[in-house]
Amino acid sequence: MVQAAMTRGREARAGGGFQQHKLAPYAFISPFYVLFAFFFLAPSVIALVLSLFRWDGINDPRFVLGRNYGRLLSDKVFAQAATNTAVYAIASLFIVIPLALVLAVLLNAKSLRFSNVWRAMYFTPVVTSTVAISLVFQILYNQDTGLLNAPLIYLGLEPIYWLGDRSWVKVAIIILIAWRSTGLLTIYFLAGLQSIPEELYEAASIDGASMLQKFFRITIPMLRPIILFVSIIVLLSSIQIFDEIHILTNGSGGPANASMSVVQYLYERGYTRLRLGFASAVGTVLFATVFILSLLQLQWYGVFRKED
Amino acid sequence: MRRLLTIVTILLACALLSAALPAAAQDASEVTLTMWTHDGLYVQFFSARAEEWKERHPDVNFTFEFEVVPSVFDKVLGNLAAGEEIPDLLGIEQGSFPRFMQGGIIESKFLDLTDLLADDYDLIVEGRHTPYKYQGRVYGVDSSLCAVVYYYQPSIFEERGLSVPTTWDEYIETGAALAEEGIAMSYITDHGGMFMMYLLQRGGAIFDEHGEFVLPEEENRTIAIEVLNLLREGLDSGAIRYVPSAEVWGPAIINAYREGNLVGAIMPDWYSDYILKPQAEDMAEQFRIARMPIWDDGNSHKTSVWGGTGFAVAKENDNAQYAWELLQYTYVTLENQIKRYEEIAYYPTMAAAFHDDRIVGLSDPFYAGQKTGEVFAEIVDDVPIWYQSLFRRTFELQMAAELALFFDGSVTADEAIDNIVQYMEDEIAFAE
Amino acid sequence: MGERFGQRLGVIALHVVVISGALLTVAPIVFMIYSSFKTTTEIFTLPPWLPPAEWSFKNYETLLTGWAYPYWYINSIIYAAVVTIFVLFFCSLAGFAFAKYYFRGKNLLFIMLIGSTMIPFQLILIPLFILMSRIDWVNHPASMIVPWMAPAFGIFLMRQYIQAVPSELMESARIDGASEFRIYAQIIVPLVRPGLTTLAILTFLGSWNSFIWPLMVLRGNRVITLPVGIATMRSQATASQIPYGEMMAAATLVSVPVILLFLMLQRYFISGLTIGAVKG
Repeated sequence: MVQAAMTRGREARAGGGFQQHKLAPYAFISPFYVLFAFFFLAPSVIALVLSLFRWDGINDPRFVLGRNYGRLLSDKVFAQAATNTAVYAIASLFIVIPLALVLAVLLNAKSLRFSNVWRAMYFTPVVTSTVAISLVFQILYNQDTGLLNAPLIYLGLEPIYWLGDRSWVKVAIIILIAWRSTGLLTIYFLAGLQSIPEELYEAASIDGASMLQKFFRITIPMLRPIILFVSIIVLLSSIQIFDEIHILTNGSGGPANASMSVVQYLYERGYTRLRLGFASAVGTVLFATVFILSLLQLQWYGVFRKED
Repeated sequence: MRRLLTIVTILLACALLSAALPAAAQDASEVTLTMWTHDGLYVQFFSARAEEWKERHPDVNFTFEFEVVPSVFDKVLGNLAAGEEIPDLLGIEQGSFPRFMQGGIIESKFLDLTDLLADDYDLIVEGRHTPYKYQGRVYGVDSSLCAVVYYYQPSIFEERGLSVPTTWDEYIETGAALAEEGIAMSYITDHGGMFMMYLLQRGGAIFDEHGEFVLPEEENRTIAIEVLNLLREGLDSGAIRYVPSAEVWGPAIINAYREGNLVGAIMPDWYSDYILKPQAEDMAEQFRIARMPIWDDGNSHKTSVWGGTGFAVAKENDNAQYAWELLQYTYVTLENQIKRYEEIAYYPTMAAAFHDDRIVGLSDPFYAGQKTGEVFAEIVDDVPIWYQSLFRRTFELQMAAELALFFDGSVTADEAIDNIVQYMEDEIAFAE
Repeated sequence: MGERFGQRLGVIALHVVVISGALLTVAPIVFMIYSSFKTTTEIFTLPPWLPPAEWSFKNYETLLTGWAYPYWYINSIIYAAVVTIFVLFFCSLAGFAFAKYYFRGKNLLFIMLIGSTMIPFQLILIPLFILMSRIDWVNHPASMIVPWMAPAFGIFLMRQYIQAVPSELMESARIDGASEFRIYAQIIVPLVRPGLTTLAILTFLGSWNSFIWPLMVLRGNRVITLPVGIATMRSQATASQIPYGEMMAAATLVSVPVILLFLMLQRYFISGLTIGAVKG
């Protein structure tokens, strides 16, 4: 903290004087903005405009003003997809993040032997291919012969309809999300934990604090910035979830749309039915939602503080 | 900012320039014919026929690029939207045909085959034209009859002194007896197309020949509810098993056959070679084919219909003429329709083929030598007609959702139909 | 005595929890590897955790000879590598600017940067594809590389790392007359190497795994990338067999090099995150 403040002071003094110094940052950031403007901003603007049209991609677009948005907001399937997506986001934030945090604390314990090996094992899911692993999970979730039901069948219990039941299918997808992302988040948290000064814990031990007290009074507050950083990444990726569900449910988002995410809704209702204007309207609503949520989070995170 | 603008302008200029460059002219004697499909069996069959067919043009040096392309229809439609090339021949799975009806794409980008088929039109059963019809014109030639039969394991019945049911009442009754041992007769899933298959057998319709949504009409509504209640009865008695849609085509089902807790499936002809045989090689001789059960009051077709892939020709491509010739040779001759059956076991769409001994006389070793063609010959004249509609996909997807709710008992048959009708009317109004 | 016993119990419990979690985590991967040596029938036979009865390389053989798998592999590696190199350069450069300079419009530009990560890719899929078509980049390697050369996430990440580099170093270099680019190349880059490693891994992974975009823009059996190839295998269920075993072999070969890469770079990766992520 102190060092950061010093850095800021010095930078402020160093500013000005050199012409090159003034132009350089623009040159340095220009590749991003050029690529962004051309490949992302322009298509986004086109999409935004398209959301006011009806267009099948081939014939001339027809201006329909807010009709796409009207239908979208009255469609019960969209409401369902939005709810499902919220469930995935909330589960990611409140199950996956705490899980990763606890795991990081365990992996950081000094008494743990061979911790590098375990870390590597926890990280492996991150590096697997989404397409490949979704296929693996489709087999794992198989009702009769899947790995997840096998213990239940072994114990003579009723197997679970992982992909056939409207509630379980969400659980199945959340398990897949957790499996894929916990490892990466754990590594972020581990990095954070390693920077907490040991003295804080020692001092707390002298004061007779318990493990739990140390966790809640020292670990969590010290990790606050990184928890927020991670939660933004998680929020963004979970709101845009598509690949996993698409492959796990054979593109249906079923049963009864119970697993459909908003992006899948966009893809299905928009592209497969060639309602490109409608798809754009869905995307615009999604973008607005994510943008507002993230700005709120960033505000809390303090990214826009002047002196940063 | 000015710098950025300059760069963008340069990039845009390059873009426009490169787009304006003319495509390289093709050497007349070098022709590359392309085909995209979702099913490798078609690639296999077309490749074999193309080798024979190219002898007709000794002056042309053909290259054939026939491929299975994942998400093929997304890709073709994306290409059309972008003005990119599409393949000369495209296998359009009939469920995706409505996507090509949107905005009249099928008419503006694909060859109208109605007149080209000429006299051959009538040789093919009408029900195999309708899935590829747009405003009364035909744009695709189908790959198989798609008539529905019952695939079953006779040993399960024989061991218990049961016979193969011929009516739905018998079917439920037999199924209930087997259910006591945890054995189901067949399975269903929350799939709109599968529901339409059962509905068509009973003489119901979702869309009429103009593509209008006719489910709300009293007659169709009654039939839809009857069909739902039949399925309900099947599920409750244990005769029919519910399977999640993700597992319908995969090994879970095959495994259930193998373990003897599932007798078989009510499925179209393509089920045999596309799904069953490749996955159940080890179960050769254990299956037979029978007609699907009919409704007891006699108000029903002998079979139903589901699926099909119609091959269409891209009309703006240079090779449209060659593509049509190849398609005609491969699919619109009796001889090759029979060959298609012999090589990839997709049944002919020409009724006359069912008088040929190579269809009715062929005994299939997988079915322990059963002459399966005979079963189809009995029903070929009673295959119901499946009409296309722009809204078919909308219907199938939402119906799938309603079916899932109906199957798990959350809604009654009446409610399910009310819900789907309401949804469809909203969607149709939105599309106005 | 009691306390030490309790401590020991705690250590044992810790190991039990950590190890069983680790085993659960790798279970699907082990299952995948096992299955790649099994026949389809065997894959779906209970109990699924059994190793293959016979370690058969048949799936691998068919995979490498029956499909254009080697091409897919090489394509994927080339795209991922080239994209990664560009990303490292452009993101560190831009991250440097955002971390160490004050300039007009910085806050606004930064909000734009953050905002760009929130554009759902599916929203721009079709417009972007149409754009690619207009500039004749469909089925052109550029479409797999150029749009992805400077992702906002990478810039954000690099900004975090570079902020931690003391500014004194820059100042003294400036006094010595170093150009701004030289400061970047000779001072910043060597100091944020762990950060670059992190970004390299994440970028490589992203490119290696991307699915929808290559599916749209690439065509031809020898031109596509691994994920598209595997999806092709799946939809190409023909009379031979639905190739579950081969698909598992394909999936295994997709995952193994990246796992090895990670194991090799693990130390840099974790220390890289330590520096960068801690400073909000």
